Order: sequence, then C-alpha cells, then structure tokens
Amino acid sequence: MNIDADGSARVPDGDLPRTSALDTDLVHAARRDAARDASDTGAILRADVDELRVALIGLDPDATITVSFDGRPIWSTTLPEPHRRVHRLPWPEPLRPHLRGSTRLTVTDAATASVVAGSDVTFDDSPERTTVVDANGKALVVNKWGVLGAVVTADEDLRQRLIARTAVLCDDLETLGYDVAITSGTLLGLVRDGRMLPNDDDSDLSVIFPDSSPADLVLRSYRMERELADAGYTVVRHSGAHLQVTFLIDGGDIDHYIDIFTGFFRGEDFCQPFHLRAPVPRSSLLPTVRVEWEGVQVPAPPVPEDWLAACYGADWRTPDPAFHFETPSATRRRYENWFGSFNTGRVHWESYYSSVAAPEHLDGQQRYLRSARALLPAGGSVLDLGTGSGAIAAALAGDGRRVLGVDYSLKAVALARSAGVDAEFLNLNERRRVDQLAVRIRADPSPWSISAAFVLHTLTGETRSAVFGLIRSALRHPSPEPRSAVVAVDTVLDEDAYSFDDPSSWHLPVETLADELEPHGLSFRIERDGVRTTPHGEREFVVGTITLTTPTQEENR
Amino acid sequence: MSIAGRISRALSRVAPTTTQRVHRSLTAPSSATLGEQLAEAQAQILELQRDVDELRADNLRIAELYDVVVDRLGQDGDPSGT
Repeated sequence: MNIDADGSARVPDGDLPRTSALDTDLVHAARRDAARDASDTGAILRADVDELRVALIGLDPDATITVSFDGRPIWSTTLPEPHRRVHRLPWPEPLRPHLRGSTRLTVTDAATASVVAGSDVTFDDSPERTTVVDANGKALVVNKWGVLGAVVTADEDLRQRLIARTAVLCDDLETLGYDVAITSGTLLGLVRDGRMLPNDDDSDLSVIFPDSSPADLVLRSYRMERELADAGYTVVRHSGAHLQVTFLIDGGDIDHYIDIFTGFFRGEDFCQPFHLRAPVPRSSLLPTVRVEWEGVQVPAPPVPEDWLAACYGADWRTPDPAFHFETPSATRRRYENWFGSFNTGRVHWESYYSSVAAPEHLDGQQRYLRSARALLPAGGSVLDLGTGSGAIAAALAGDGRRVLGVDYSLKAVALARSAGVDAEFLNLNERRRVDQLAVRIRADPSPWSISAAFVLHTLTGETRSAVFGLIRSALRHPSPEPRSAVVAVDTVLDEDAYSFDDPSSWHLPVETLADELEPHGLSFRIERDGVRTTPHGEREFVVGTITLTTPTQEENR
Repeated sequence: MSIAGRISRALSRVAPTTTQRVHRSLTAPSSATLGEQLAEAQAQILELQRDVDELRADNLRIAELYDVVVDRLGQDGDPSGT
C-alpha cells in the first residue's frame, strides 16, 4: 500500500475492494470536521443495521473505542485495519436484533475517555429509541465474551445487591475456612479505579486451596459446592475449578452472579484457571487483607499488583475495555483436561428461556409426544432429559406417570415447575451429576424410563457418552417391570443456519447416533420420522427408541 | 538406574506406541527427506499431546467417580478429611 501526498492510503487496483462513494464522503467529512475547529484531528461516523463506519483524521488508528447509544456504553472493541482511512466494524451478531429505531451514537476513545465522533443514527422506521435490554428490561452490553450480558453498573439497586451479597459470600466462605479474596475484574477495578469497572456484569472471587493435585483440587471444590448449597446458595459449576453462585429473581430469571475461581500453587507457579499460570509469590496473595470496596469490607491479596500484572500483563493500569484473554495453548490444554468445561450451550438456553413466558410446545414436540405416549410404559416413572419449559413432562405426568424433568437452564427449571412438573437443575455436561443420577434411579425399586425430546443433538459427543451410560443403567434395572428410552433428534445439518454458539442448530445423523451407542451395548430403532419447523428453517427429525443390544447380567444368569 | 533410564521407562509405560516410534525414528538410519521427518515428528508430538491430555483428564474422572461413591455413602468428598 502507498500513501498519497494528502496522507490517504492508495491501494493498487485489484488489491482491495474499491472505496465506495460513501467512504470517500465519510473521509471528506472527517477532514471538514478537523478543519472546522482548526485542529489536526477529526472523526465522523456513519451507521446502519449492518455496520458502523468510522473515519479518523489524525487520531490513533489502533485505538480501543467504546460505542454508546444515547450515552450508554454498549460495545468496546479495537479498531480494525482501515481501508482508505475508514474503519468498518460489522455489528456483533448478538447486538443486531436490538438495532431498531433511532439513537445518538457516539464513539469514545477508551484511553482518554473523550468522545471522538457522534451522530444521530436511524436504524429503521420504528419510532422508539434504540434500546439494548433483556426481556425484563435489564440493560445489556456486548461483554468480553462477545455475547450480550447484563451490566450491573447501569442499575443502582442491582449494583447494591451485588456488592452486599459479595461481602456476605466472602464472610460465609471465610467462616467455612476458605482463603477467599476478590480477584479478576473486581480486583482490577478496585486497585486501578477505586470502584467497579464500567460495564461489569458480576463480581469475582478466588479461593486458594492448599492442594496441588488436580483430583484433590476438584474434590475440594465439590466439597465447597456442597457447603455453599447447604448454606442456601444456588451454585452452578462451570468446571472442576470454577463455581458460579447465582442469584435469582421471581420467575427464575437470573439477577446476577458471583464467580468463584479456584487458585492453587503448583511448583513455581500460581494457577487460577481458566487463564492464569505464572510465578506469583505466595506472600503476594496470602494472608489476605481487608479492604474497602464500594462501601463494604472484603478480603483482598496483600500485594494485588503482582496478581494483576500476572493476569492482565504489565499494562494492566491502562484501561482496555476490549481486553480479552489470550491463554497460551499449554495452559488452556492443562486446565481444560484437568478440570473440564461444563458450560457448553448453557448461556444460549438460559437466554432462550428468559424470553419464554410459559411452557411451550415447539413444532415436532406433539408428534414426539404421540410416539412417547405409545412407547413409554403407562403408569411408570419417566426421567425427562433437557425438559426445557416442561411441556412434554407435564403431558406425560398428566397421563398418570411419575415424571422428573431435569435441565441446566435455571429459568427452564422454574418454567417447568410453574407447569406443575417435578423439575431439578442438572447439567448433563457434568458426568459426575449424570453418574449420581444413574445411581439414584437404579436404587429405586421400580425402573425409570427415559425421554429425551430434541436434546441429544444439542450435546457434545462426550456429554452424549455420559447420557448413554445413564440410559444403559436405567434400561438394565433388575425389576421385571417394563421400561424404555425414547428420543428425538434433528438429523440433518443446515450449514447456513449452523452456529456453534446455538446448540439448537446442531444435528445428529442416525448413523452417528448408532455408532456412538454401540460401545455402550445400545442400539437405535427409528419409530417415525418427519420434518419440523424450527427457528433454523425446516429440519428433518426422527423419533426412536434406544434398546439394549448386549445381554444384562440378569439375562446371563 | 539413571534418570534418563527412569524417564524412558516411565514414558514407555505411559505411551508405549509413541515411545517405540520416537525410539525408532531416532535410531534407525533414515533415507526420508527432512520434510518427511518433520511431518513424522509433528505427528508424534500431536500423539504425545493427546496422550498427555488423556492422562490429565483421568484426574477429573477419578475425582468424579470418587465423588459419586462418597455422595452415595453420604460422606464428605474430601479424601484428606481436612
């Protein structure tokens, strides 16, 4: 690329797309902006429902910017490479459904907190102002994971609840004998700014365990989870080293979280999954000291600067709203294999059910239900995996069956319970919980049948393997009473609709299902097939039964 | 036994196939091109990574199964009792 005398970039024909008239117009406007106030700098933005375009004259092209709607920060990002001085930023996918109506759109340089460009933008003909909120009106931002998350600092009542609960949780953990301290974004905000970070969505705690063996660390984390549950907390496990204490509001919607990360020393390193593995002196972390944070006393590391430099790098004092972790492969592999990762798909389903007001029948479920009613023993016990809003579980229970629905969306469990379903929170990604459930239903004097309507194709292969172990265990119950396992799956991939972040777009071919069942001594028989309408278009599905193919011990005798 | 011998024996126990391949590739006279040797070494590293990942993941499985047992017995899941 060459630079013209006027400073604009010149691209050889065919190297990059030609600059549009819009871009040229944008750059000229930025130059006029600079000339108007007799400065060397100017910036102009344009936006539509597809992208934001920013032209900067004399400003840092590598800046981190924060985009605000009507003065409320929505999205922070680093500027992409400009083409002829115009930075083109496609809107993040999760934000697009909210791009309606009009707003005053401003772009702020995160380093200086100064507004560099602003414009009145109209996304469509809707008369309202553009709002980025959830179904309950809670303010959302594009968070560091690239998805929409609640922003605590936009709601003072919520912020105060989070602060008070964080202090109480710290006290409770200390009473239980744990070395707890504020960490991550909570620690960074306190040390750098003296307050919570703008756009923070939770608070973060670390608990330093005395163990260094991964199995011992996980077992101690299990114990802490039990103790917190016994104390009345709602605890969601993200990994063997990461718990999320979740606070709910009426109706089962999530009010906010507090993360608890396990920390431990191993060799020369201090480890705090999922990211940190660096030599931090023990004396920089323990014993903890009491500090004032947002008007309450909380425990903190005695030398927090050492932890912050190890986690965020030497530039941790410079605000970077677009910061994201770049965890070295060796560290990531170590932590993922030692501690697992159990949250796959849960954010999607929690978000999905937060917009569902009452138990719902999706297309295909009635056809599944007709088959399930015929194939599941009348009057028996049924375990409904991934019960969702409980519509199928409620119908099966209405026939006179004893039904237990399980789901890993807290909101789904609340919906199912509101429909009269006996429902429990259970994450199928957690093999330990699946194993415990298998033991539990095998201990029942009567056998349990299994129902899994449009669930198996939304799970990873590893999770399905655990579920198949559960199904085999249920089918092998020693009682002579009848039992069965009925499932429905979407079988065909729609490449245009597929998204890793949306498990409902996943698929499971019948051949793959059969191959995966075989090592478990199970086989699949198609009972019916069809096409159903989904948010991802028309999808082919099958309903079938899973049966034992290898003899049980009882049969061998 | 020397430290190298101990490491060699431990490696052959953990990843016998890979250890044999590495040993062969280091000792056998090779007519393979440098590119072929590099490709084989890369494949061996990937295989070793998978072996290491499997062994690491076994820690979690041990903890899970242990916890299922203690949960069934209604006891605390910390083997050290501390």
